[in-house]
Formats: sequence, C-alpha cells, structure tokens
Amino acid sequence: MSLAAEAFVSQMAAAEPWPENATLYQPLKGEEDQILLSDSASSLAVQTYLRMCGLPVQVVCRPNAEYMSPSGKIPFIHVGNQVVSELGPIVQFSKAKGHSLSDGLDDVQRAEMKAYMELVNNMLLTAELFIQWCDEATVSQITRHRYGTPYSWPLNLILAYQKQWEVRRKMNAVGWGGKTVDQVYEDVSQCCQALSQRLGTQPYFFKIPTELDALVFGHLFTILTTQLTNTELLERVRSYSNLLSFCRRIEQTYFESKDS
Amino acid sequence: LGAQTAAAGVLAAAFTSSPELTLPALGASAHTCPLPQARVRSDVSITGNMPQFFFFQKFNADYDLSAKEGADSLAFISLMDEKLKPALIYTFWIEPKNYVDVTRRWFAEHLPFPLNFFLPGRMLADLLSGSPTGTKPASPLCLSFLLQLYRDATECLNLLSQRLGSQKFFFGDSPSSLDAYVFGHLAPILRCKLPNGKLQQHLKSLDNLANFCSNILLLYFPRDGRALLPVCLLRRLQSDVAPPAGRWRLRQRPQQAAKAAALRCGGPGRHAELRPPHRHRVHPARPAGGAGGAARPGGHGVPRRGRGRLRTQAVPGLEPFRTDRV
Repeated sequence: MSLAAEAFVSQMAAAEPWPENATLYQPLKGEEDQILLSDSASSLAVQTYLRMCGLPVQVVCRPNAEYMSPSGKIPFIHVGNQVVSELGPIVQFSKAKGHSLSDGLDDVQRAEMKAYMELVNNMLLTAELFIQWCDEATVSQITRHRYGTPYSWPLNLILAYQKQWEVRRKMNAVGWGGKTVDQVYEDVSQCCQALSQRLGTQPYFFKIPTELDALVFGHLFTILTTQLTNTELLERVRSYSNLLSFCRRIEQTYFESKDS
Repeated sequence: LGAQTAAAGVLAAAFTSSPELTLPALGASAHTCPLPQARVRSDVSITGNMPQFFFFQKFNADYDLSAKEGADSLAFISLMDEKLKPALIYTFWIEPKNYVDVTRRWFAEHLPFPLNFFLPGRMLADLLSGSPTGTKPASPLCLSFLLQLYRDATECLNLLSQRLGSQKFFFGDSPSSLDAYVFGHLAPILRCKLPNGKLQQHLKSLDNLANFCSNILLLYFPRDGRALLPVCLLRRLQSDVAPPAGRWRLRQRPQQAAKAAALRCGGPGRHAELRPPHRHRVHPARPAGGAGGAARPGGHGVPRRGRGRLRTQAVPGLEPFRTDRV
C-alpha cells in the first residue's frame, strides 16, 4: 500500500470505534481439526492481545481461512469493512482506533519489546513450522492428515504437499534448511532461556501486560497443550518454571474469568 | 556478505593475541565455501560461523554480560535479521544502480581475472535464491514492497538508536558480540558511497549510531596499520587458568606501553575517550614479549605473544571505507 493509501486507511480506522461484531477467522478447530500448531499459536496470541485490550471479538472457524487472509497468514480479523492479518498489523490497527497496551513504555523498553517479539517470531514460529512441516515423522503422522481434513482425496494430498514445499523453500531461504530436528530443539531451548531470563521473577515482561506477553503466551501455551509425535518440545519448554507460571497466570486472568 | 565479514573482522580485531590475521574473503573458492573466511596462522582457516570458532578457542566477547543482557543480544540480533538484512541485501545487490556502480564494480576490480567476469553474477544468483526477499509474495521491484522494506529498516534503525541511547556500546563500556553484529551491518551502509542512499541518509541522521560506528572503526580498524592501543579485550574463561608468575614485573610494561601508545596517538586528545576498555586476558606462563595492554592497577599483566601489534591486512569488506576519508 502506498503511503497515501495507508494514511487514508488509518484515518478511516480511527474514525470508527471498535464494533461489536468483529470476527477473527482461523482454520477449523474442534471436531474436524484442521488447525496446525503454528497457526493455533498465532491465533491464540491475537485472541489474548484483544482480550488484554478489552476488545470483543468472535472466533469463527473456516476451512479456507488461509486463502481468505490478505497476506496468507492466520489469523485475520474482520472489523467493520477492513480485514487485517497477523499480530503486528492488528496491533497497529487497534492503536489507530485508540487501544494500545504499550503506550506506557519508554523508548528503550519499546525497542526491547519489538526485539523480543522478533525473537519469538524468528525462532519459535520458525521452529514450529519446521517441526510440523520438515520433520518427516510429524509430517506423515499428523500434519498432512490434519491439513487436508476438510477436503476430499486427492485435493487434500495435493494441498498438503504444496504447502510442504512452500514451507521447505522458506526454511531454505532463512537458512534452516540444513538443520536437524535436534538443532531446532536446541534453538527453541535457547529462545525459551532468553525469554525466561528476561522475564525473571516479574509477572509480565514489562510493568504492564503488552503484546509481547500475548505473543509469548500464545506460542508457549500452544506448545504446552499440543500433542506431537514426541514430547521433546514439551519437555524443553516445561523446564523453565517461570515461563510455566507466566502462562498459567495469563490463562487465569484472561481466559478462565471469561468462561466462568 | 560485507556485513558478516565486517562483523567477523571486529571480533577478530578484538583478539589481539592472534598474529597475522588475514581475511581473504574472496577467491575462487569464495562462492562455494560459506563466507566469511579467515586464515589464522597460515595453516588454520575458518569458514562460516566465526563466533563459534572463537568461542571454542576460549575467546568470549560476552563473558561479562548478565543473563538478561545475553537475552537482549539474541533478541536484537533477531530483530536485525528480520528487518535490516533484507534491506541491506536489496540496497547492495538488487537495486540496479547500486549493484552496477558499486557492488559489482568493486568485486570485479578485486577478483583475479577471469573470475571477475562471472563471479559477482553468481553471487547475486546465490543470494537471490536464498534471500528472504525472494520469498515475499509481491514481486521484488514493486513499489509497495520497497516501501515496506525501507519502513522496516528505518524502524529497526530507530529501535537500535533508542536502545543505544547515549552509551558508548550497547551494554556499558565494553563491546560485545551484539556490538560487532550491529557494526557489521551498519558500517557498510554508512561508509559506502552509494548512488541511491536513502538508508544512508536515515542512518546519518541518527547521531548516536553514526558515532558508534566511527568509534568502533577508529578503535579496531586503525589507519596505516598502527594500533591505537594494543589492548586485549577479552578474558579467557578463567576457571582453569592460573595467574602468571612474575606478575609485578609484567605490570610495569603495560603501563609503559600504554603511555607510549598514548603519546603516539597524540596524547590524551581526541582519542582519549576512545581508549578501549580495560579488559585483560590471563595467560599462564608466557614470556613478556612486546607491548602489553592497558592493565587495571592491581590486575594481571598482559603479555603478548609474538608481535606486539595486530595486523589486519587487506580486509576486503572494508576497502570502500578507506576511499572515503572522513
């Protein structure tokens, strides 16, 4: 989008308040499980962020959510007459509407927050994608089956293979093509260690909950509650107790209170 | 490529005990081996992951960082990889004017005949096939994609500038691997004369980052082969190393050397505040050869092995800097 068009869009966004009928689209979850680990993590992160802001959103599951999304990534939200995908643009969009979590941070903290969000995206998300699409065991037992669930044969196989090639290309581009699964687990451990050291004994990464907390919660909670072919990833994340209590705290604050 | 070489060069320059470190990053094998390459001691050559090599040799620039600072390093390196590196690749390799006038010409001038005809093109093809920009959905030359690229890069530079603040290095007074990494990525932008220099202008407007780069350039890449102060930056992992005997005598030399070096640099003048930090390396039972480093009073003497100076010959990635006498 050119700068002028973007300015226009953000002006339009600022003009209207957050509507009641905002919807968040993600792949199927529930009886027909289509959603994968990485998509589930991103979707949970966005849901957590919106709950932290106090913005109501309905979660709708569609099998073709990935194709509806403007950037091809899950999740995306449909607010008014605008469609925004991925956590970064959604944060900016809600900021344009006047809801922001990171206003209270100073410049250095904001820089650190952005850097840590990139760390999570760079390492955790890429590791999740790698494990679910480049690790043969996981691909053949879980991913391919789940990804093509809503479609009939042979479309389900074709789509699964297509997606696998695309992800493999991306892994090669970022330099992860030659890695083994153990190296990826090491990277995940390193990332969790960095997050754990940054969190320390504080309740949140900064004084108030921010989008970084939402992102980290989304990824870690999904890893902790998803069953894969082996429990290696689970064990690695579970070895950091302060991250576990962090996840539990956010779950209790933002999810259980709503349900009860 | 230049960024990685420069980053490795800084790290290497910091290890003052390594004699005769040359960085032949080019050559017929350059496009098959992962860059950067370095040859240490003319029989050991390192390719690819240099920080790991130095780590295994028990040199660690991050020894003094706290756990939180180490985590911050990782985070900021990820940030730069994600936001700044695509813009760098674009600026030097994909942008037509820059590629033709600067990058390809520079490689062609420094490669031996007949490699200079096809090697730059091969490097470009390698880069494109493995580049993150190649995986973006829009075609690389479309305007909105370019705008997004520059916006990401300028945002990254702003964030780095905010994090650096008014400090000399990112974590206090002594450099770490994050400083090397940032310098490696920023210095080419700052110093190369590019026909199309939007990123350069933005970087120049961020004073603290520009000063940071000049500091490191003056400290670790001296002109005319003269070391500013022969100091050791790093501390060997001290667990299994005993302090050398005859410490008292050694302590004199570093101070003498420091004085001599200070005089050489024109006294406590412009470069006084640029003196490298007082870190020292503990070395067991070495003869006190050559000039030592600036030792803390009461610290260990810092003997140097062999020559008293660091020589970095023909650092290809930094040639453009020397033509720009600032």
